[in-house]
Amino acid sequence: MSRGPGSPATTGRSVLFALPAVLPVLAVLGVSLTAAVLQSLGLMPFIGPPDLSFEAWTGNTGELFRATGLSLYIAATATVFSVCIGFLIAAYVLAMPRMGRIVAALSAATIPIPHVIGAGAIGLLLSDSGFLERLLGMPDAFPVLVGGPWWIAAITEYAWKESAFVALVVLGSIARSVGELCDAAATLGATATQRILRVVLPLAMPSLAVSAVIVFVYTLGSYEAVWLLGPTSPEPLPVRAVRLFGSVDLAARPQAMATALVSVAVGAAAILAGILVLRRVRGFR
Amino acid sequence: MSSRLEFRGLSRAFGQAEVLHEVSLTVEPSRCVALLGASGSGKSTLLRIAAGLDDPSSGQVLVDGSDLDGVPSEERGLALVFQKPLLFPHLNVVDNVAFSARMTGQSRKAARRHAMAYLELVHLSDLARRSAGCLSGGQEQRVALARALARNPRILLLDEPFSSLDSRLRDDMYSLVEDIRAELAPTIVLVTHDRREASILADSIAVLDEGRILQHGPVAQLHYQPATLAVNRILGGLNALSGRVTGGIHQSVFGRVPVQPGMVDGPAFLVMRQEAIRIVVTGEGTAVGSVTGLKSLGAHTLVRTEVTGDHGPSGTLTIDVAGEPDVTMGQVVGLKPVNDSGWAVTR
Repeated sequence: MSRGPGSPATTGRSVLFALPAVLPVLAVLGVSLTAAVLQSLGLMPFIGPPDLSFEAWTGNTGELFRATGLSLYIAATATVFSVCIGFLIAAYVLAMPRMGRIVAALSAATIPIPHVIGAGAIGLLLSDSGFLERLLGMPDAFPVLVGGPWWIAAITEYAWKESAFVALVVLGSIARSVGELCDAAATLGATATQRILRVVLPLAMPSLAVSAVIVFVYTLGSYEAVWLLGPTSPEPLPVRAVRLFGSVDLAARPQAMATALVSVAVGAAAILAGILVLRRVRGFR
Repeated sequence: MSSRLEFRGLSRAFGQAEVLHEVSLTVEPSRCVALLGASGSGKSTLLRIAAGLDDPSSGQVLVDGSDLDGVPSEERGLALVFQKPLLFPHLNVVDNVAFSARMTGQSRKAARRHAMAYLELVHLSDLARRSAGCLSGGQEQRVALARALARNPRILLLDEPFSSLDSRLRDDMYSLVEDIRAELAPTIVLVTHDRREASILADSIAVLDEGRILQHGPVAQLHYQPATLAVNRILGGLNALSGRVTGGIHQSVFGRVPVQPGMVDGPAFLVMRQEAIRIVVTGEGTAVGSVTGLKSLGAHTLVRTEVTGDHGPSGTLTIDVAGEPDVTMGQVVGLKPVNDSGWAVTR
């Protein structure tokens, strides 16, 4: 009987070793998703007998679609900014070893700051009576960044925090090999810009893709920053879900669950798309 | 494609540690010079400075008389093949070789056409579409060599590119370098710690030790006429007998051996390569030695002898004998220089 890598015995042992980590995740996810689906369909009501109903899904589809579109906009924009800024930070750290160390340390220090603190700080900085407005001295002309229609303050908060995360993931994945490859590229005639675009960027693509998926899914489901820094209406999915879940109207619970499940579905779709892209990126290598 | 490379008074220090000290060396167009030295002798630092990947503390690098100070690596027109192949993992074989052409703005099609010529030169055109990660060690170094040549460099710098290959693959690579020299005649600076590799590939060898060039000369000269005991040791010489030179004759336990003209009278070491001594019948040689060790090198054997005589303290002489020598441990044998002359150094 074969005992090499990939043999049934080895695979079975690998599965056994993974079970302690995987089982709690599956149990929590399974229970919570099942409960959410049942509650959204009226089969697990807070009070009263179960009664199958699609009202939570079909009753206010317009608002649900608007919330989904808004969440996608915030998550996609924040992800694009985070990935671009994060890659630039990583490239800077690699290109400038001394100053880069300081930038890397600042990035690392950014990550443990909770989003709710970060959102509060961004609010104090960018609100229409905030630090920046007072510094620039333009009370009338200062744009509506907090609570404005483009969710700029919330996206800024995400981009600030998540770009540091992206930079550290990229640095961790390529820092060892990229220096020598850039030296080789330089002796082959590549300028500094060409080295970044033709060597560093392709090498960073797998880690950028992974971190982009993580940032997208996180910002899609994150509540604090959009609740603190966004307008009251329209609402992104997590804000709508939390508001409906905490409503005094217990009949709103199924809608809260339907909203949360849409968020989960969009996140799962993003993860699947990310895996496909990642496979393709790795296929290049 | 060939240019003249000159290092003029080049020094490099990292903090208090001086890695290179006042190195001066000239490589004429189309010639191949090997920088031979042990690990840490500064030879790779010298190549990195030439390639523009490191800056000297003082001194100049000149190509065809032009000082390269301040010229970035990508504008120097020099190509460097590293110890590791360093192929770009996101590109296939042909696109790795086409990399330099793409950097100059050539279209993908034109760059690939240009690259194919160099892949044919290294006999790897069949693997053009293969991923860089799916090559053997020897194939990777061939691709790295083709990639460097495809840049049409003025000077090709080789930083121990074959050190990780097995002996058979190395011999293949030596043949390949000979083919490339015959076809393209590039100026080559080869860094190596392998004296055999240096002797096979280079026209001349510069011996580097602790950041200083001890001697630069043709391959045979360095082997048989070393400037110092250190050069003799680095080139694999096993024999150095202390004695005295008087009137052009070195006297030691090895007897009276004529040495090079111009040697000043006084204490000196006789350096005789192990290949330049013969074992003869006792009485026919200049000295007599007792066999104290036999070490097989495969097709050759090193015979270690303890030599005693009237002209100096006893010493050890090692003789390289083809095949299996007809001697036994403890046997007393006669020893004689092959050319009836030797080479003396004072330090």
